[in-house]
Amino acid sequence: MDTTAPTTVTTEPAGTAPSGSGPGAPPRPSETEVWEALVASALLGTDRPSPGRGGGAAAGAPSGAVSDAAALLDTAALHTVRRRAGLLPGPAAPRPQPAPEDGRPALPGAARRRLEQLLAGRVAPSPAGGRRGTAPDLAELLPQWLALAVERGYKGPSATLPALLDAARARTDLRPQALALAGPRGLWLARLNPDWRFALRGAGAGGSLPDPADREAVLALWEEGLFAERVALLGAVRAADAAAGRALLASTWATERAEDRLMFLDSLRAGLSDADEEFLEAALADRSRNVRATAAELLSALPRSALAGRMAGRAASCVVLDRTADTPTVVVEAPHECDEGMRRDGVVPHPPSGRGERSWWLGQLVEAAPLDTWRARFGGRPPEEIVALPVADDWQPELHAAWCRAAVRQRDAAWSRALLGPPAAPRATGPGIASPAERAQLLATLPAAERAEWVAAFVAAHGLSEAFQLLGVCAVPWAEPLGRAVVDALDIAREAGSYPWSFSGVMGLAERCLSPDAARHLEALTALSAESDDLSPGAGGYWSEAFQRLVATLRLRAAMRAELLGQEHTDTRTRDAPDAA
Amino acid sequence: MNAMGVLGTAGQVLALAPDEASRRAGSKLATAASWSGTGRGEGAVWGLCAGSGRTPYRTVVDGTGPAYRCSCPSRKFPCKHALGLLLLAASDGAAVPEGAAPDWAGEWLAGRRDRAAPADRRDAPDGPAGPGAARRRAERRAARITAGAEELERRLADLLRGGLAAAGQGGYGLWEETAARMVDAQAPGLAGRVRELAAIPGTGPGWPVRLLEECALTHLLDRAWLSSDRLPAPLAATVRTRVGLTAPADGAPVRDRWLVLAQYDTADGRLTTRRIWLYGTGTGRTALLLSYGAAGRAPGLAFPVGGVLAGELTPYAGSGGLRAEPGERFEPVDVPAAPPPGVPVGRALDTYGRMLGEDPWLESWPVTLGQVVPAQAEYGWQLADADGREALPLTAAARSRAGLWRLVALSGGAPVTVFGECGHGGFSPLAAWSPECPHETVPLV
Repeated sequence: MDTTAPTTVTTEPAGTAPSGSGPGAPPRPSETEVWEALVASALLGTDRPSPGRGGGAAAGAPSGAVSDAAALLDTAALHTVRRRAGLLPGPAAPRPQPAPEDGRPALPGAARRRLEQLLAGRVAPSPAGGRRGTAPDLAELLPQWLALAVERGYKGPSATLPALLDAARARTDLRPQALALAGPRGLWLARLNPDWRFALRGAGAGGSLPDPADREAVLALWEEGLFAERVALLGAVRAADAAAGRALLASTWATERAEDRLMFLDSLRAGLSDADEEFLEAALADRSRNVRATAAELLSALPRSALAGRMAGRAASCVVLDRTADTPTVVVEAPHECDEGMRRDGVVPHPPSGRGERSWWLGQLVEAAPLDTWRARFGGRPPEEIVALPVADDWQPELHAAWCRAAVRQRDAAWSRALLGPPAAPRATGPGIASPAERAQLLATLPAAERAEWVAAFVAAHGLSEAFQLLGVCAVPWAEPLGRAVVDALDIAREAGSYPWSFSGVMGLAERCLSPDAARHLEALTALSAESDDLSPGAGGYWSEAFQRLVATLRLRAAMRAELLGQEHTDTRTRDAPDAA
Repeated sequence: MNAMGVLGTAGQVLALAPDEASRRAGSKLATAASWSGTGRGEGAVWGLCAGSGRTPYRTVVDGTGPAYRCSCPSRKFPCKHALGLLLLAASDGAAVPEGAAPDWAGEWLAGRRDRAAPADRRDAPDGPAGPGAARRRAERRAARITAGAEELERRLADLLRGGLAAAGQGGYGLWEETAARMVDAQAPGLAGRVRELAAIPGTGPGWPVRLLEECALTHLLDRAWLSSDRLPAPLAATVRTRVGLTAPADGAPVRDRWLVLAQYDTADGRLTTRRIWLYGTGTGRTALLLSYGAAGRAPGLAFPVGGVLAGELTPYAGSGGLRAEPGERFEPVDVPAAPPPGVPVGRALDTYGRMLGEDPWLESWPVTLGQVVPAQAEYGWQLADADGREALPLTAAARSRAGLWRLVALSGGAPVTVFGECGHGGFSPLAAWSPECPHETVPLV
């Protein structure tokens, strides 16, 4: 039987070349043969005559013919121990390609241990449905930790890479940062384990990309690379030099498959400028409808493009200011048909079910027209005044919604501000904004500080019930006065007798986004609320628990941050927390 | 102030947890908000943790054991409160200030240390009726074991006469019965071997070979027991241990600073066995501590992997003298310890082979491989010498463990130092060190 090659593997199927005693051993064939004879006898049983027995396989060797069970076992024991004692190493397999060097600095010790703790906590989500208790939710802090670690330019600790890849496999939202931290060694590892194949597919294959300035290497990878590598490459080249990225794409554009063209075209979104117009204009004639639509969308984000000009002309003929009325009024005459030119410029002719054709076309025209068009059309009025103009015949929701989409697409802060209106305004009378989601998108075009202030004022006026999405677009950690406003609103909700789980979304956000400095004035709330138990049954206790968790999470975040910055861990109760910028 | 004064880093604390659930529960309690009345001093930490009841749980950890005490009803050991408290101490120094222990903690700590102070061990109890009665009991038991060994011999002979092929067709019930007879014969070692024999026909291709090997070794153990009066003393001691007779640890105590190489549990039916591998940084000696937990309870002994503890071990006789009993007091030492010196894979197999001379029933022997690279052969992962000539395959179990990937990641295709168990089934890696961080023990189980 097998006593060979990877010698110690006794589970190897029989049949590998016999070399048990090494190449230099004297020709003693009985060693293996005796053992095989023993196994045969044992299988059949010593009571039965066996063809191998007494046949003289090894003349004179008594072990070749075992007639008695005990003697067979004696011999087998001898062989077994002898074989085990004489095991030799097997041949070495080809050594794996070494992992590429990762020149980034190693994490500080405390930060590395924290990562292990967070990754261990990931496997254990907090019990669903039940009370969340006072302990921080570690899994929710992982994204922040990863983002900061990547921003600080650390490399992932080698032994933790498997856990990191597992985390990225389970949660797609963690992938970009987790893979960035894992770096080239992470990709090297992912190649060895099919479970982690996603890492090779996904974008952000940062480590293995050539330098965008290295023309030859870039061209080689662009022409021969896998799709994911090419997407990542195009993104990197585009980020380094927008024109070079476009040129790279143009070099093979005609031969790409339609779905690839769509993805590649999407990477031009980054660094979009007037210089891209010619290329995009040509793409309006693409065979694929999705490619045409994306090209049109990109062009409409360039107010000086010819497409934007054409759309402005079409939109302006539909929306006019009636100066003859007592108060100047916006009058809308939606298009009567979707002609060939409109289709070519990306207007989708068929509305989704339940919407009228003409308003559907109008929305698309207004959305794609440069917002500056309207100032000229409406007598030089600034956006606030235009938005405040009355609109005839119930066209206002349609028109304002289209303007909102235009402001988001063109990242126009002035129009966004006008369309958002004052934060404290009663919602029913504000400009025709349909949903909190649209508000959130508009907010995202404003500078971070202004965003925080607007949301703070909104929260102060309207409370937290509709603030969730708005809070989600604010920069982390929340700048003042936003943090203060949220804490005050939570306090008000507590005093009003609500239960904290009505605000669990905002609470979760606050845990992740409040500045750790806020822990100090939150401390008072954790204690105070324990006594005022008389509002709703038990609510005080739950609030106290929720605030305790909030404070604990903020402390933990401060500690995490200090560890990653390599600072001594200071405590917010005894000293000021490190400035969380 | 970090936590080294008590029990080490958060990672080391988590290594003490009896299972994943405790690790999670402990992490959740590692916040200042969960605790009151916390403090630390003289190598211990204590605190009150609010639970679901009216009175908070009182938790004390003596870092010099380490030993734990908590008023909670949990049967986990250490419980989540002890873990949470240690994690808090490790991560948030200010939350566990230096101070004098309150009475409830102080009494227990003082009691523990009084017990530890007289270093001489309590003498083995001689039983109520003195040495004579003990000897008679031992003789009676030996006689029973002898009867059991003889019965097992007959059973093996029957099996061989009928042929192993028949054993493949469901002789399981018969084996169970034989195992039960060995338990009755007070020979748990033989009973364990019999249960393993019963399982072999289900282990895939090549099982007849493995069954013959194990039958032969069981037969060898029977024969050795039946003629143990003619064996040299060390081998006789090994045979007694293998059969299942426990003798008190009575070797010469060894004092050293011990690097904790590995700690892992294996569950077998209702019994959990914890194995802890230690390496004496001064003596170069490798020692194995065993701890058992019955009926779902975690074993009582817990050591932080990668930590260094100063203390005394008392070796047991037999089986190469690996197994030892820890003394009462183990103090963490805040010094980095280098891994044991490594050898090439050929030397590792040689060592195992040599040790088989002392204990033919050895499944594996602890070795540290130096300058080895995890590589993928056709049959699976192996550890190859850095010169690329010879290699040891990993055991089937090790090839499917998550720790394999930690090892591969740590190596990155470059040589590393790996501690593990080297046996006839391959190499089972338990801990590894990279050249960049030679003082950092990466656990692989």
